[in-house]
Amino acid sequence: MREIIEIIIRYRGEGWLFLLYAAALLLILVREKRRSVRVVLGILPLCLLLVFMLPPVYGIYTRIDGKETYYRLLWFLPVSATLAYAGVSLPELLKGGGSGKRLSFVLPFLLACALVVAGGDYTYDSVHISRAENRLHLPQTVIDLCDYIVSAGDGSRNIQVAFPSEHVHYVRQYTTDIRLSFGREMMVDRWGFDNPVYEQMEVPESIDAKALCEALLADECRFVVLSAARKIDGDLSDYGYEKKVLLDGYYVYKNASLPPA
Amino acid sequence: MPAILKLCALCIWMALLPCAAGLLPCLALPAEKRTFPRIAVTGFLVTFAVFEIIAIPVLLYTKLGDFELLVRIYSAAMLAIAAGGVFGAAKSGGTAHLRAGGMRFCAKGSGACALLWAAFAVLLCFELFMAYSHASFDGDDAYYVTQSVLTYQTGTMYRYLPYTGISTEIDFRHALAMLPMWTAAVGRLCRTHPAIIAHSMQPLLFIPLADLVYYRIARELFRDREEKNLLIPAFLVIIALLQIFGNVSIYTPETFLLTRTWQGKTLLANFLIPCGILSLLLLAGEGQPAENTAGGRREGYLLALLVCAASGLFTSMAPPFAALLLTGGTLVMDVIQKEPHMGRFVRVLALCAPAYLYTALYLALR
Repeated sequence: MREIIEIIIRYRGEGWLFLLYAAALLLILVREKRRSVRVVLGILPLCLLLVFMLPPVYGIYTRIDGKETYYRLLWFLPVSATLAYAGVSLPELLKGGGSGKRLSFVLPFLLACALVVAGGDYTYDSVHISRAENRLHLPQTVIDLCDYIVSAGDGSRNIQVAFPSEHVHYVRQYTTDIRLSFGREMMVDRWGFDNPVYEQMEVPESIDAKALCEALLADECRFVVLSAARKIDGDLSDYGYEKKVLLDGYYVYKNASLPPA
Repeated sequence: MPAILKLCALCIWMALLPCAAGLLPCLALPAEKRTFPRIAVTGFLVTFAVFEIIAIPVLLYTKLGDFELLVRIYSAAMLAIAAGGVFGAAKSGGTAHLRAGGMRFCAKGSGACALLWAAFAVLLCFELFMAYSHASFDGDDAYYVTQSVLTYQTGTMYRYLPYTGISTEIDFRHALAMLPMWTAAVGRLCRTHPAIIAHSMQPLLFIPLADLVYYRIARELFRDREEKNLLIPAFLVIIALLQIFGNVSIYTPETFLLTRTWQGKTLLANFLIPCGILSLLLLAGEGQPAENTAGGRREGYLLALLVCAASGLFTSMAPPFAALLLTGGTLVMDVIQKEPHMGRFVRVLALCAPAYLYTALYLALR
């Protein structure tokens, strides 16, 4: 039960939008005259919330789809529709029926807008949102690096490449002609993957050229991309990886001795 | 393909044909009920259902998941359904807006109404501008968008690990939800990279589509109110503000809508479930006595069926969600409203058959 409550608390998040929702729900339950509206926006959400909070439902759901997505059952609650309906129907709901006059509708509507703005959280100031660099909405650096590697890949459509972790989410959204030595699976700790190339590339201090190249060769990795800012102990060319180009602050190394896949 | 032709193809495959496809099921409604929002919402449900119904056998029974075959069958089916809808509508009285000479939002001289619609238009345009001009990072894109790109580039479905590219068995936990394949199919038909379709084009479609469902919900909520011409745009202004200021946690439908618009779970939260709510509102209607008969509730039942038929496309859990919402909703409704013989519940229980099939398939294969 505690886990279910925690899910609700996490879902509710910051601000007071869910308090507003609770107030709107209560108002509709108590004052709404149209039975269809009271049922769909009032009674049904309460029943669904009750179902959501039943531990056996939680148990069955998590067995099928895991704990991480249980919050999605809360999407059944028509939060937006209820808030908007209550916001514009406040005079009607408080009067308990009859037709509202225009003046009495405007003020509650403006108040509802103000409460939503003040009690909500502006989506576009998220750290995950930035100006798009192109229509693909992928970093241009990654596109430049991929274009270079595909053009230098001797026509192969399965080019094995090790990209630094900041690029792995994007590379294959642009081209799947590039295969990655490690991908997003290494970015999520709880998934518990390990990968020798990742371990050598993402060491916090200097990269050990010998250890990295051994891992790259074992993975038959023809290209490796490293930030120009990274310190490297040793020289990758000693192990067959020649520096080819500097693009947007990243060096591309190629091992020409490995045959195209 | 020149850019202008790509743009025309995008308009045809992402908007025109799905809307036209809505005409066919709307033939079951009288001509005066065939309004644009009704046809468009129905049309996208038909489009998603048709794609899912074709894609599942192609995935399961062709070598490596023959994407080219899927695109051929899907495009032929869509053209046939759209043509059937247009022909049928022309033969049976046309559509409400054609009959009325166009869409009307406000009565003449209603300044407040026009102001509210203008405010909503500004907010919607702002959302669309931000969606097009700003990129939103989400780790799940490395899975979903890459699946679209993989299919677009290799012509196979779900046979490679999206993160690294190693060949693999089908991951049925995700594979039955075919939205990434629809993205790839639109990309193929329009000769456009799937990342552009997902990140730049789909938000321009899915955000207004979500609002269109809310518009229809508002029409139902306020249908008996004298001042509904004001209340509907006011309702939509609050909906748009809730979307823009709804990022109170990373889990809300509004956050999904504006930051990961192209993912199936977003459409589940912002399109499919609101369509389910709309269906329940239509079924709960207390209008004229004629509307409380099975025939009068036809639209609600039609919507329930289409919601269940389309549900498989979005996420693996969307079909049980759709069935739970619709059957649970009608059960509560029938008990409270004392419906004779639990009529609505029994009918909806039967109409949810596609959702049961998707769920059974998922449980059998995963």
